[in-house]
Amino acid sequence: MTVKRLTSPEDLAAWRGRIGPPYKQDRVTFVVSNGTCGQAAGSMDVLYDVHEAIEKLGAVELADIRATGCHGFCAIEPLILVQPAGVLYPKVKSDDVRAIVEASLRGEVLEKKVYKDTDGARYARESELPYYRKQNLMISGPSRWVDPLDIETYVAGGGYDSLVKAFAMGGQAVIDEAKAAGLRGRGGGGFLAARKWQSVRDAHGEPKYLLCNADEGDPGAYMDRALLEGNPHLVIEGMIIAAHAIGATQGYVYVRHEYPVAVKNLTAAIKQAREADLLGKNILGSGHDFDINVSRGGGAFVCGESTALMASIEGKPGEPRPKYVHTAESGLWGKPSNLNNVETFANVPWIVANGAASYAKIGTDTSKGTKIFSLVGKVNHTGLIEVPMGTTLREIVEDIGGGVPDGRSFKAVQTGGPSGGCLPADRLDMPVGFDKLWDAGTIMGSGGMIVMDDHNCMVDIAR
Amino acid sequence: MEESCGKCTPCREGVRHLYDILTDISGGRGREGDVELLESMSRAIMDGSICGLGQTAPVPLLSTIRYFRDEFDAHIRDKKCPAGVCKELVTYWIVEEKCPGCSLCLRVCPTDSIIGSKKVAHKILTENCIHCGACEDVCKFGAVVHG
Repeated sequence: MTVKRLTSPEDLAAWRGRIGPPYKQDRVTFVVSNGTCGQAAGSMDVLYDVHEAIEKLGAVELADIRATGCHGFCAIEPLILVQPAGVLYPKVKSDDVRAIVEASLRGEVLEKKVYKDTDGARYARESELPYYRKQNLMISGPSRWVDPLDIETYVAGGGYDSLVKAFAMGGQAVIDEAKAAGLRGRGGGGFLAARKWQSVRDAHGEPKYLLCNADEGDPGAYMDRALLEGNPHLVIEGMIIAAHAIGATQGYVYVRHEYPVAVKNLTAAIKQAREADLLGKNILGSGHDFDINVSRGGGAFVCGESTALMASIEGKPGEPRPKYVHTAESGLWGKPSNLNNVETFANVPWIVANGAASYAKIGTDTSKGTKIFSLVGKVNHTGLIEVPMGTTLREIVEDIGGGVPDGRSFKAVQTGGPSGGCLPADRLDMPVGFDKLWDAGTIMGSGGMIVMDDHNCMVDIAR
Repeated sequence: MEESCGKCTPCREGVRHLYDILTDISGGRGREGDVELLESMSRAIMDGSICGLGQTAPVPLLSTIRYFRDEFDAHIRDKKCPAGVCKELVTYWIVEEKCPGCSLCLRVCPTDSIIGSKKVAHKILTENCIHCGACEDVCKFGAVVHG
């Protein structure tokens, strides 16, 4: 792979033209979900087996292999997704790989190995799965075709187009767009991103810093890791757009120490973006400068708090300080600083590309867009799910999650990770959103969602 | 609890005390008024902490009290854990009809609290039982139950 230096938006378009579509239509692409979670389930072995099968069948000219980040459906890892047909093979075992590859090369579907739902029904195509039916994968979807170590797969799907558009719009217009979209911080606070950006843009002092919080500390929450690992360029693009909006020239991604794959993929992505002149001086010939450094976390949960995080980047102990002076005025190194969460940045390219009006159509009155939740605990289908704000807890637990396993009964769902509250069965019809959850005595938090059945003691949970 | 950086006293000390009180409740040592004490302490911690950690740490507790008050009362008043999770409030016994007297549980019991001889239904002596559940884990006949 050779990355060409891009000196204008036309260069980017020409590059995309040379790359072609995300999948070659005349070849079969075997996609293996290879995030940290996939690797734990054995995806590295599957990748090797697919490679071997293709070679033994003499089909090197007919097939591609692509290792992507997390596809979200953890319960069925390791998986093979055959593209462009869209056929999904869950829980792949070494012995089955050759048969799957053979059938796929013939353009057939190996019926007995496709996904089988809890009710026994079989679904061959990924898009038909009940798990995905109620989801809206506008943010996490591209992770299913993007190879995080190959910038071309991101560019092929329209990557960095939003950046071109944002440069043409100008910084203030980007902030106005984010404001009209109603984008709220996905890290848990739910603060309006545009308001934060505006105060940093208006603040005096140079340079200005743009920080990305990837210190995802909540046990059971891993959407930020999945995004960083699976689609780092999406986060980078969101950061460049936000940096352009607030006038920042230096960015930091503060990554949790326990996320080595995220650090590796992000570092590789930053390097490729620099080589393509998408980071650094004079990005795409626009005259804007911005670069990103990766800072590895200090290890403590509290380092995810904004002032503690900045102290930690400066090399000081990660302790929060009272915010009489806002970080927008005096943050990192005493300069105006803006901090957003990974998922917040990941929303930015979509908003710029599709416009605030389309974004604001999704969700509820006060919570717009989608939210990625990690659905775990006593539920049949565990995994990362992305649903429009306003989806009810019942839809999440029963339709997407497939209900509580082993014939037990649902007791409670804890939203927002370990700092979140537990909601009982009679609150299941509540639509999720920042304010609705707060009124019910819990929080959106980072988006962890832990389902409990009648074998969980609530006093013990509270403890 | 281990995650408090220690800067704010309500978070550092308060959360520890919440934990201690909850441990007492789940251990059958809860007292009337504990729930109200937990609630007022939670509010003090949320008001008196600088950052989101202390401000949200009591959220799970307050929400469980709000929606599952009956379980707290069961632990405090009746000394029972309805879900059968809190070890100290659980009693184990053997269903005679299901027990063929294989003596497997008898051998794994760390406190020798199970009596019986081969092919005769066994019995658990509750006074020495430490509620470890080892007998239930090894029983192949589903004869050991708890509640």
